[in-house]
Amino acid sequence: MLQRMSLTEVKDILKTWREDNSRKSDEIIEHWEDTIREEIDDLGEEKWMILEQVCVAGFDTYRPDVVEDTLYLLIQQFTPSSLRVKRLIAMRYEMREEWGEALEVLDQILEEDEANSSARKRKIAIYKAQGDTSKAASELTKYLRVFQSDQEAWQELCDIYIQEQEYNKACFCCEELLLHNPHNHLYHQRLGEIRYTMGGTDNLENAKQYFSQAVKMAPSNMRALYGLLLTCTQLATNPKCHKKKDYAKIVFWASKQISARYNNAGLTDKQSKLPVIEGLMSQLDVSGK
Amino acid sequence: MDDLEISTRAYCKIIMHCAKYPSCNVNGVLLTHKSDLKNGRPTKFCDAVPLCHLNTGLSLVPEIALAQVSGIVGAAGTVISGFYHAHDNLKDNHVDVFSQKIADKIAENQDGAVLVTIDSKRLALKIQNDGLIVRHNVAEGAWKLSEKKLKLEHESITLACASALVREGIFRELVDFDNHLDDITQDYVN
Repeated sequence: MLQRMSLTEVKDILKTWREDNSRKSDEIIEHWEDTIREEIDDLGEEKWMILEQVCVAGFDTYRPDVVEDTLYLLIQQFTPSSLRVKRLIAMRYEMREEWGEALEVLDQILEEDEANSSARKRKIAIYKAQGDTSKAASELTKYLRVFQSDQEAWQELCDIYIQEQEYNKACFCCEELLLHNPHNHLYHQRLGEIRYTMGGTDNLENAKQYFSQAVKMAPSNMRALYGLLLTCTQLATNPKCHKKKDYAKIVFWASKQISARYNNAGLTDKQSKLPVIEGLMSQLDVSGK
Repeated sequence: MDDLEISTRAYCKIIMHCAKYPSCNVNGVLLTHKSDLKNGRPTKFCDAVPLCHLNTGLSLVPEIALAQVSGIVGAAGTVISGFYHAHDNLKDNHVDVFSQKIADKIAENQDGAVLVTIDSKRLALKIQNDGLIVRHNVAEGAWKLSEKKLKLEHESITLACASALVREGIFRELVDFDNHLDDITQDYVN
């Protein structure tokens, strides 16, 4: 159970989650029940945004009671003709899995406002929930032709393609994200992972470059360090490889970095970590440098 | 036909992992004590190690995780004897290609390994039945529904325990391998 907090503290947390777009629905509902519900009128300017946030959390955790309480207040204030309220009404249908009705309401929003991106995205979410991933992917592609800088949408499309194992397309999406955020080590690392999963010498070379970049930007990124280690090991143990010594150097460096991180974290007694690295190093020795 | 048994510890960890990340695909491995192997096949699953909830379609993290877990289990007298997974979509029970490939790898090293799919529709705040679908490997890449029944170590008490852990919010303290990679001081063996 979360500790009882003051209203101000709760308001601050909810604001942070709104700005980060965090999905902490069950915690939001707990705050609603513990603190906010009794003190709605003291919420000030943020009242309506908080009610909307709690309403969406109610959809996510299937709490029709919370939804009814919050949606009632929002409808009273903004009337059902407000597009933002309409979107919530559509989401209520989604919660009940009444897909037809939900799509109808969303189509109404789009008739009034063709450029309403949140309604279009809800439609795509419905297709995904129904299990129709190919339709979700094609609608999302159409959406992105218009809204090319919507990073949330590129990420979603990337995830869908990874699940469908269309790795080339997933790479394309991730590259778009990189164009928008060239200094984000996480995207470099993600691209590295996709290339690594695809396999084959060219992709592994590519993966190595992305992992190296990620490590350069964020030396503590464990996934990138391990990625570098595994990628270079695979490249070095390839019988057709010409640059074994170079790869071996990188493997050695990466393994030292990883060991150092574990040591710094005070995990020297965890003998488990070293066999992984030793195993990989011995693979290199066997193949001959 | 012998039944298979899953310990309360393993079952609760699986349920906690699902509860912590309800909107993601999750997966993890099952462990068996060497002493619970009969004719080289597992009869009882004593523990579970939660692995991933992010980007479950990419192979890097599961590879690292399996290598590390193999290192730990050797010393602890256990073996990796199964793989569990759950989908983000409530209605989805199918075995996706990725989970199947990982399970194949485990089955290569351990006879009688199982692939457990969590049936999300059967989970609830007050869990009535175990909600697990068990499959055995019959051939390369083919997993069939198991004829053996998987029972819980303490039956209804195990279910009550899992329900309580979810209700009290304790599942938030579970650490999986993805959490460990983000912060290596966190222990994914829990």
